[in-house]
Amino acid sequence: MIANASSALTPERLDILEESVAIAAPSGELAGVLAYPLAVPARRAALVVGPHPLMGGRLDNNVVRAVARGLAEHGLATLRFAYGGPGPTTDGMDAFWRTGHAPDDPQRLGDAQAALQYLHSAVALPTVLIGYSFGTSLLEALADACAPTHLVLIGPTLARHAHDRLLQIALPKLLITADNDFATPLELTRDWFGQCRGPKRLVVFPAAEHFYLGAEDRLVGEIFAWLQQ
Amino acid sequence: MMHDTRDKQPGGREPWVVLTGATGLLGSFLLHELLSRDHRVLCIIRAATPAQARERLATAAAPWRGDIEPDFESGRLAVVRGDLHEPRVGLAPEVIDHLKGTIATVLHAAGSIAFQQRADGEPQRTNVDGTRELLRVATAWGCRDWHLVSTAFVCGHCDSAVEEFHDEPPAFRNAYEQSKWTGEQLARARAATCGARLTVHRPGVIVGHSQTGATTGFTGIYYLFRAIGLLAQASAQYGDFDRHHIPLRIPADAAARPNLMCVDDVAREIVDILETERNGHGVFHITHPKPPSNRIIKRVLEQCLDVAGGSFIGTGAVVPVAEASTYEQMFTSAMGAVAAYVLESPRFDRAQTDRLVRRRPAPWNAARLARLIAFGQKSGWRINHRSAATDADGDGCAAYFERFLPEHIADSRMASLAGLDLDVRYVIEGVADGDWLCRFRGGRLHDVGRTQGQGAAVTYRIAAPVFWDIVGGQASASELFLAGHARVEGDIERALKFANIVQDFVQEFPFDRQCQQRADA
Repeated sequence: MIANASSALTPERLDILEESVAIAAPSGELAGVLAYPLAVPARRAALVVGPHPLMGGRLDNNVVRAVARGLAEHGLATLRFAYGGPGPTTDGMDAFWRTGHAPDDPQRLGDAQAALQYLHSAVALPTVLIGYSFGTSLLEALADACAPTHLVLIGPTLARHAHDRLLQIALPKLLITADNDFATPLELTRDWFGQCRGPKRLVVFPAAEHFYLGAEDRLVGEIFAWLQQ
Repeated sequence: MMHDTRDKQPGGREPWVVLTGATGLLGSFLLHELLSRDHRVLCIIRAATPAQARERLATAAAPWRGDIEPDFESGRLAVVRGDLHEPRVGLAPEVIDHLKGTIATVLHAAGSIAFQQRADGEPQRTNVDGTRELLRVATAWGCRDWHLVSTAFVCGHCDSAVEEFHDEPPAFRNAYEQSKWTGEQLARARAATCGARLTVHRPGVIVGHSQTGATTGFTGIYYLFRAIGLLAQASAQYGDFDRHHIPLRIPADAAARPNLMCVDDVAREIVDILETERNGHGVFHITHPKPPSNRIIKRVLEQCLDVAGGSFIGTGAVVPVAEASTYEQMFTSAMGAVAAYVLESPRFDRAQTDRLVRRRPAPWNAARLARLIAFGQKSGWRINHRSAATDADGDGCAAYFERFLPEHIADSRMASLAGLDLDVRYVIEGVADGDWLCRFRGGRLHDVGRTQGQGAAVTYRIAAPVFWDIVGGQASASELFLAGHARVEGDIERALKFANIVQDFVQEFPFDRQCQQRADA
C-alpha cells in the first residue's frame, strides 16, 4: 500500500502515531521513535540524524523531535534515534571539552547507518535524509548507502566537521541555517553552499541561533514546502 | 519488501482504549491510571493542530503523570483531534476507517457540568448529542465495549437510598441531571441495538487527590471552601463581623453527608471495573461508602481557614431573601447550583461496585479534607502551573554554592578535566541573592561567591524549580536549555559542553535539598 502511494504530501497537519523502537547497531541497541500518520498511508520516509550526543543530541532534542513529528504530520514516516554507546570516559570528556571531538565519534556513523537500515526495513518508501548540526556530517556516507531523493541540512557544523564529499552529491539539497549560528559563520555557510552541485536552496533564519528555539514549526514548514516543490 | 504502517498499529498487537474528556480532572487521572496499567490510550482532544492537542493533554496530565512525552514516544499514547459537538465527533471518515477493528473499549469521560440550560445548548449538547455521535463512531469502529461516565446524581431529588438500577425517570433538580440521565438512556438503547456491552459509571462529587489534595479544577465542593474563604476575607476587609463568629445560616443538616470521592479513587474504581466487567449493562455507583458529614467538613474548614460560626438550619430550609444578610446572600451566590450536591446527598448503594473493585476508597478523615483545602489555599483557588520562588530557595542556593560544590567537586570526575578553565554565572530567577559566579581552573573550583558585577564566559538563567531539578539530578541542563526552560548567554558552545560536565557531576553527587535543610536545621 505504501509502495504504491503517490508521493504527494498533505498540506494540512495530520494526527500521527509514534512508536518506540529498538534498533540493533554496532554500538549496541539504539532507542528510536518511528512516527507516521494515523489515517493515511505514509508517502515518503525520512531519517532525522541529530546533533552530537554531547551537544544535545537526544531523542527529545527540540529540532529533532519537531522535524520528525512535523513531517509525520505532513504524511511522511519518520525515524529519529538516539546514538548508542556507554558515554564518554573522563578522558573522552576532557578531549571533547578541548577539541569538540570525542574519541567515540566514528561510531556515530554506524549508529546512523543502522537507523537507516531499520527505517527501510519498516517502510519501503523514497527516503529523505535530514541532518541537524553534527548529524549533517554523517549524511554523505548515508547517501551512498540509500540513494535518497532529497538531502536537508539544518545548521551544518561546517567549521568543525568535514562535509567535502557532500558538495559533490548532485541530489536536491535544502540548507537551513541561522544568521547567528555559533557552529558555523554565515559567510562560511554561503561559500560552502555556493560550491554545492545539483538543485539547491539556502534558507537563512534571521535573528536565530543554532538551536532554533521557538522556530521549530517554521523549520518544518520550510522543509515541507521544499519537499512539495 | 512492502509494508503498511498499519502493521505497526495496535490492531495487529494491542488494541486501544479510546478516552474522551482527558483534559478534565477525572479524564486526566483516568489517562494516568490507564497508562499506569499498561493500556494503550487514544485520546480524542479538541484542538486546531496535533501539536496543540498534545500540549493540552500534557498540561492536564502533568500533575499526575509528569511528562507524557515518553508515553507518546513509546506508542502507548496517541491523540486524535475531534470534537463531540461535530457529526462523528469531528473525525474524518479516513480516521474512522483506519481505526476500524483496533478499538477495544471506548471510555467516554467528557461531559458538561452546566447545571442550567444554556444558550449554546449545554449541557444537552455535550452530554446527549456528543454521546450519540461518539457511539455512532464506536459502532463504526466495531467496538462493542462502551463505558460511559455519568453521575450518581441522575437519581435527581431523592430522600431514600439509591440503588444502582433505577429505571424510572427521577425528579430532576436541573438540566445537568436530566442531560446525564438522557445520555445514559440513549447509550443503553444504542448498545441494545448494536449488541454492545454498556457499562455506566456514576461517580459522586469528585474532589482532589486523596494523598496530596491536588486538583486541576476548583468546582463542586470547592465553591463551598471558597465561599467560606470569601466570608473570612470580608470580615477582615469590612470589619462588621468577627471571623470567629460568622453570621451565616446554612440550609443543610449537620449530619448530612455530601458524597465526596477523591479523583484517584474514582479513576481506580472505573478502571478496575473496565478491566473486569464483562457481562455488560452494569451500572456502578463510584461513590464513597461513608462520606464526611457536614459537621466534620465545617470543623475542618474552620481550622484551616481560621474562621468559626454559622449554623445548620436543616436541609430545605429557606432563608427569605429579604431576611438574608449581605453575607448570607454572598454565600448563596458563591455556592450557586452546586449547593444541592455539596450540602446534601442521598446514600448510594454500591454493592455492584464492591463486587468488582480491588479495594474500597480509604475512609474520610479530617486530614484528608484538610489536604483538599490546603491545596486550594496554596493555589489561591486557581490552577498554577509554575510555583513561585520562596525564601527557602535563596537559602538552598547558598547551601549549594557555598558548601556543597566546594565539598564535592574535588572528589568528582570533573576534577580530572585538566583543560576546564571557565567562569560560569548562575542567575536563579526570582530568588533574592540568586546570582552566583563559579570560577573553574584546571577542573577545580577555584572560587565561588555572589556575583559582584564580574563578567563570565557563560551565564545560565534558570527558574528556581528548574535549578533544583538540575542539581538534584532529575533533569539535564542541556535538555532543559534545548526545551527553552533555561537560557544561556555568552559562549554557547562552551555552555553546552559545560552542561554535559555538570550533568556528569550531578549524577555523581546529586544535591538533596530537603536533606540539606534538615541538616541546617
